[in-house]
Amino acid sequence: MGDRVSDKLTLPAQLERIDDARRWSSSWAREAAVDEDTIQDLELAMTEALSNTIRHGYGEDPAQNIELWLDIDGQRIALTILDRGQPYDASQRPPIDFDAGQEGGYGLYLMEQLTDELSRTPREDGGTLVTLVKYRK
Amino acid sequence: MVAEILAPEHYESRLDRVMEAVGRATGHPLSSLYLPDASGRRLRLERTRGQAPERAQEEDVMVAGDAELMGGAGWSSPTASLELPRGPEDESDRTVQTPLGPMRALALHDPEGSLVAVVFTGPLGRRRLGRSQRAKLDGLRQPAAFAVQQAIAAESVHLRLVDATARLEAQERLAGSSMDANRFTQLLLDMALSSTQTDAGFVAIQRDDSGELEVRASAGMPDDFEQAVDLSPQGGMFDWSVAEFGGALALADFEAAARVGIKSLLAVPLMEQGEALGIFALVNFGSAGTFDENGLELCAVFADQIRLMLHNQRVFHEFAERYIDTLKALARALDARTPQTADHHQRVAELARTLGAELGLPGQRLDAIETAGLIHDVGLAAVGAAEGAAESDIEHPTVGASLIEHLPVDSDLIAAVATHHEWHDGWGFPRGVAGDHIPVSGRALALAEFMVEMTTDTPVREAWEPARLVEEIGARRGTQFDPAVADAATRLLKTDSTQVMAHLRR
Amino acid sequence: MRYSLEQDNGIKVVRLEGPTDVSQALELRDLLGQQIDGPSARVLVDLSDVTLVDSSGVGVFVSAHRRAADAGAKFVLAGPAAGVGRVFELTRTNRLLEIFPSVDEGLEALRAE
Repeated sequence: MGDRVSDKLTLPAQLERIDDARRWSSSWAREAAVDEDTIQDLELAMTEALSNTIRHGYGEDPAQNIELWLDIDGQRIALTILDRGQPYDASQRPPIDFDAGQEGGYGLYLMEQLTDELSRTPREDGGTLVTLVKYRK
Repeated sequence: MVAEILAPEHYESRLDRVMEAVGRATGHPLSSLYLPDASGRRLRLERTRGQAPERAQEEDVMVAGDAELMGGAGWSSPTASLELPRGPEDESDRTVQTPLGPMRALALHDPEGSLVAVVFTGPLGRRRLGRSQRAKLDGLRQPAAFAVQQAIAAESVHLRLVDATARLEAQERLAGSSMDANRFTQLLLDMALSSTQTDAGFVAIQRDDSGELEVRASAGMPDDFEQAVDLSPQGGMFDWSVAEFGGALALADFEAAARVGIKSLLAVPLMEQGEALGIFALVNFGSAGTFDENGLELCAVFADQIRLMLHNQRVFHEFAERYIDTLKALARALDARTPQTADHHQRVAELARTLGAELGLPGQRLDAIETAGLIHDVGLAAVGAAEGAAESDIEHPTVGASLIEHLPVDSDLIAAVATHHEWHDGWGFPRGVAGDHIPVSGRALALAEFMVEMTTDTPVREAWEPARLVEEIGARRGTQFDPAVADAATRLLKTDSTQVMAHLRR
Repeated sequence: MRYSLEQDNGIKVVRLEGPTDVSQALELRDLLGQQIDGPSARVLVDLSDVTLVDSSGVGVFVSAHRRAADAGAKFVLAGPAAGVGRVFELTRTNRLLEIFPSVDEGLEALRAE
C-alpha cells in the first residue's frame, strides 16, 4: 500500500474513447492495489463525468482533445478532467423523481453518490477542472 | 412601412383641418372633436385644438336620452351628460355649459342622418354668432362630415393593416412561405375591396420560373378571367408605359375588359427597380362606381405593401439558400471527422432520393428529401452548444430541425430532419411519434440512413452484404420501418442491388 | 457493442458483454426495440458479462421496460454483477425493472408467463 501514481492521458472527445480512459485509470489503480469496489465506483463516476464533458463541453468533436490526470496516493485516488466547454450550472438541473422511473438525468446524481469528493474549479483560461476523489478503504 | 396616406399623423391632421375650419367660421380659439361610440349613445373626445378642456378627456360624455339634462341644462362637470342635436331635421345647434365656459356644439351627420361627429367650439363670448357666421357654419356641415368620415375610414384601414402585418410578423414568417404570402395578399385585397366598396379585384404576381404574371389572390372575379385576358406587360390588357412613374395603369385592351364584363377598373403596378412584379387591381362589374383619387391612393398603399412583401420574400429566399448551403458544408465537415462516416450525408441523401422515387413521390418532395439527407445530422454539430440538454445526442433531430424551421423551405424538409430517427411503431427518438405521424420523407430518410450505416465497416461491425440487408429490413418491417418504405427498399435491393450498393459504398 | 442473441423456447435472450455506457446507448436502444416487437415478445437481457452500466444504460432499460409494458410484452434483466446491480439500486430503478439474480431464474419466470 501507499504506492504513488501520477499520470496524464489525452483522448479525442469521443464517447467511444471513454472505455480507453476507464482501462487506463483502472490499470493504474490495480497496480497501486486499490480495491475492486473503489475501482468500479470510480469507473462509473468517471464515465458519467466524461460523458457530460464530451457531449456538452466538446460537442463530441473528435478533433478536440480531452485531458485527464490521475493521482493515487496512500489515502485517495483523484481523477481530474479538464472541461473546456461552456460551464453549466448543476443547481439548475431538476430534482430526480425516483417514483416516475425517469429515463435520464441520473448522471450528476450518480457522480455524487459514487465519489467521496466532487468539485468543479474554474480555470483562468476559461475551462473547468472536474475532480472526482475516492478514499482508499 | 405603411405609406403616408394611412399614417396616424394623416388622420389627426385631417381632423385638425375640420376643427380649424369650424373654428375659423365661429372665430372661437378652442375646439374639440367628439366621436360617437359603437352604440351611438356616448361621445368620446378624439381631438382638441387650442387650449384643451383637460378634465373632459378623461371621461365619456353621454349623448341625448337623459331627459333631466336636456338642452342647456348645464354641464357642470365633465362627467355630466348633454343632449346633442340629432337627425338631419335638427339644424339648430346647441350651446352647452362646460367647465371652460359655454361652448357651441356643431353636430355633423352623414347624408343618411347618422351622427358622424360633434365639434365643440368656444368659449362663447357675449356676442352671439352673426348671420353670415351661421351661414358659413351651415355650409361647413356636409364637407366637414365627409372629411371626418374619410379620416375615420382611412384610419380603420390603417389599423387593420397594422394589425394584419403584426399578426403575420408575429408568426415570424412574414413573406416566409408562399402560403403565408398568398394569405397576406388575399387579406390586403379583401381589405381594399371593403374599404373602397368595390365588387371585385385581383392581385397578379410574377412567377419565379417563367416570369409571367399569375393571379395569386382574387375576389369576385369570373373563374375564366385569367384565361380570358392577357396580363403580361408586353401588349397585354394594360398599357405599362407609365408604370414606373407611379399612378394607375392605363387600360389598353378595352375589348378584353368588356368581354369579361368589367365596367370600371383601377389597376396599380407593383414595380421594383423598373421591373414589373405584378398588378393590384380593383374591378367593378355593376353599374355603380368609378374610382376616384382616394381609391387610387388606397390601391397604391396596398400595392406598396405587397411589393415590400415580395421584396422581403425574395431576400429571405436568397438568404435561406445560402444558409442551407452552409449547413451542407457543416454536415460534410462532420462526416470528415472519422473515416467511417466520410460522405455519410451525401450517401444518405442519394439513397433517400432513390427510395422516394421508388415510392412514387413527386419531384418536389424528392428534392426536399435529398436536401434533408444532406443536412439530417447537422444537429449533432450543434449539440455541444445546446445548453443543459442532458440527452443532446438523442435531441439532434430536433436541434437540426430547429436550425431550419423558420426558413421559407419545404415543410417536408424540416419534418424529415426532425423525424429521421423515429420508428414506425413509436419506439424511435426524440419524440416517439408513430405511423402516419411521421412524414414519408422522414420514413424514407430513416431507412436510407440505416442502409448506409449498416453497409459501412466500423471498428465493431463488418459491413453487411445486400442479402443480410434485405433480411434485416424484413425483420424490422412494421416495427422500425414503415412497411411500404421497407418494401420499396427490398424491391430496390432485389432488382438492382449493384446500383443501390453503389450509393452505399464508395 | 458486443452482444449475442439466442432463442430459448420462444424467449429471446440478449446476452450483453463488456461495458454498457453512453457510447452504445442508442445502439442498445435500437437492439432492444427490435426484440420487443409485439405483445407476444418475451425478452431477457443477460447482464452476467456486463462490467458496467451507466446512467444512459439505465435509461435505455427503463424505456425498454415501458415499451414492453405498453405492448403487453415481457422484458426482464438477469444476472447483474454486484457493481452493476448497485446502479439500479442507486437510481432506484430496481423498483420498476424486473431484475432476476440469475439467468435461470429469469427464464423460469418468463416460461411461467
